[in-house]
Amino acid sequence: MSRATNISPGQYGIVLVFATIAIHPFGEQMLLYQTTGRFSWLAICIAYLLSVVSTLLATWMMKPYTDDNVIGVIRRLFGRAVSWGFALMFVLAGVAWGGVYLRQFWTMIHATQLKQTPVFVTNLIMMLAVVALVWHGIEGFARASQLLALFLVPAMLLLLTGLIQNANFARLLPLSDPPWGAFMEQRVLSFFFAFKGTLVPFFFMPYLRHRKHIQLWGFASLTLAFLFIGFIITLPLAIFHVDAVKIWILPIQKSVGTVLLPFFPIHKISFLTPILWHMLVMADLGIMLLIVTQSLGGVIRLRREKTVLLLAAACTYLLSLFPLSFIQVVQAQIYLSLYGAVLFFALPVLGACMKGLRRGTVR
Amino acid sequence: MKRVSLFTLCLCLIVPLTGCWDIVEIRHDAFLIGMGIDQVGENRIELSLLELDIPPSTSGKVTQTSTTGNPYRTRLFSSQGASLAECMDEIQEKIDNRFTLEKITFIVFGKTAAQKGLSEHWDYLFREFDLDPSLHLLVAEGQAQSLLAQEKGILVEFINEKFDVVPNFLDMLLWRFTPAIFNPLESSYIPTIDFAAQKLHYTGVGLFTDSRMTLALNAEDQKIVNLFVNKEVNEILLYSDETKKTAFQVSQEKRRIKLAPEGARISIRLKGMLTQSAMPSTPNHRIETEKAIAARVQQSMVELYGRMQQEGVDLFGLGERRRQRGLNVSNWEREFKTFPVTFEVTVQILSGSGKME
Repeated sequence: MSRATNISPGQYGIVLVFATIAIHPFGEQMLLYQTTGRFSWLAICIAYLLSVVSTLLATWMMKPYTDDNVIGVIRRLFGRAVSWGFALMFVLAGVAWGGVYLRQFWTMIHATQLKQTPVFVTNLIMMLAVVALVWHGIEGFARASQLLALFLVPAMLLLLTGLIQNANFARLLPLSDPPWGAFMEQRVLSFFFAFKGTLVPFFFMPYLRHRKHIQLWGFASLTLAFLFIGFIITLPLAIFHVDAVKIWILPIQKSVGTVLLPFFPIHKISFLTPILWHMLVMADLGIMLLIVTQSLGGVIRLRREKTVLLLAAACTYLLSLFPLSFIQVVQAQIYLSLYGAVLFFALPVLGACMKGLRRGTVR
Repeated sequence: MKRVSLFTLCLCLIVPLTGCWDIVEIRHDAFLIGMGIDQVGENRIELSLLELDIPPSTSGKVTQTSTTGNPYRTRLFSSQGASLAECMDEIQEKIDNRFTLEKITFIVFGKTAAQKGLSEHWDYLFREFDLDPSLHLLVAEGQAQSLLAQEKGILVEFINEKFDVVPNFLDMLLWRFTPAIFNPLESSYIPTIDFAAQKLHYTGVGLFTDSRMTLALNAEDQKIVNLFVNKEVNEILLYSDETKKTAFQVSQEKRRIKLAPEGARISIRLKGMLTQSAMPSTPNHRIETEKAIAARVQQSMVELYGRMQQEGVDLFGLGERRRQRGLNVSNWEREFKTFPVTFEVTVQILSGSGKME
């Protein structure tokens, strides 16, 4: 299978950042605050360390295979049947996570901006935009992500600067005596595997222009995403109080409401931030749809890849319309994260072990 | 064919995108801009909501000047009940327009309600996603309802346009006050206001501990509170003695708190201009004036802090700082009343703006 290899390491890093950030700005904060309180930052650190290990292992596992994505690599390492199994698992993860993303996107957009617009309309518009984003394949998507990053980076910096001015990080002290028991709860354990950066080396590496310093690019991107998520999780705690933020679905959006910009024509940026989250969700949904098509493409020769893409988009869209309460969506996120632990952590470890055992006979 | 299909799809999506079947025109929105909360019985509160009265647009002119000369005209709705939720529900029935709290810019608490404690109202205020966390908090000297009934748009104008130009006014926002509600180790303040002779008066500041207003201070004491808590203390006028003939205008303050297990030391360094002096004109005039002002400010601080300690108002958050250092704070409420705090005030008179000393 020969491929055009046009993704630069920079674009690869941007996609990795998007995949890692995912819906954390408005997804699972409440769960963390309710269980780990002011020690939520520690959960982020653990998740980051696990994510670094799994992503770097995945990159190491994928590095020698220039033509295959993870499904092809699994086929080489474990055989055809196992590769089919993992392909279906990735398809399920792509569609299910896509559905959860869309659902969370609607919760946010409904609470902040489009209060009168029905859910099926907002999600349909979003899905159409995402399909357009991934229509030209992985390379087109990587270029579009670069464009999104051009808007997102300055906007995020402005947002974080405003929030940090209102924060009192001393509220997170003392750092001693974290509630270790809380970290063993299911909802916190699920958070450890919620960073989906591993998917990027699995599916984007075969398209890389060159692989020089790719581990370094991966590490830098993960660290950038970790810093962003770290701020997003700790800022509401530092601005309000740990007991205050436990009741909100969108703590970061509420925190943005405290930022006043008296020297700008627009004094408040709280109504602009949903657009930023909107862009993030678009990028992440794009990654999920690409995973579905790439996974199926790894086990069967797809004649009409775009039809599969449209089918995946339709399934994701319909799943997002399934009538679930917010708590049920959160519960679904927990189960999906535990399911993701197999895909994002166990698979790279297993693959790297197998590669180590078969050293020298990989091609 | 492809283009026609795309065009048809876009056309079909335009209608539902705007949510046309549920549209609420802007003139059908209730412009609720202020809220008043009073305690009217042991377990009963009175909620007042101030609505901006926008007259129908005539030849493009929307605003209309009221009798007081300001551009705001308001209507007041009130209701009594056991909780904010019950009162809101009742007022919602009285208002013809769509009920939304997203445009509220201030909440006034009646003095009795503030003294009873704000924590029971906070859950509603905090849970409500539409409420702006940057809205202003105020305490009325009497009932919030009667203050709002008299304000005739003046309070609305003050909050929207003028509050930041009044030198001694200490503003408080919903999000900044929130830690004091949830954390018993943190105290806070809310400015107090009154309305008399069609004029708004900034009477002082109410100090809160454990969500209750335990100390009401006048405008003179408010200056010291300003020095205790404010980040920018421009234009506060301080005097060297009771005669008030030597005046010093603060333009810059540096505050430093040194906390040790056995006590705290608070250093305050003030820089500013001498606006009037009755001190003898000697070669050491400047140094003596600085010393006199510093001594007077220090004395005021010690006196005020003593009162605050008796009422349990920990405005510097010493208890919270001790918690952050991992020290035991289980008896802090009792320990705080005898916790030794020393003040060190230094004053520096600047030259400039055409003024020498």
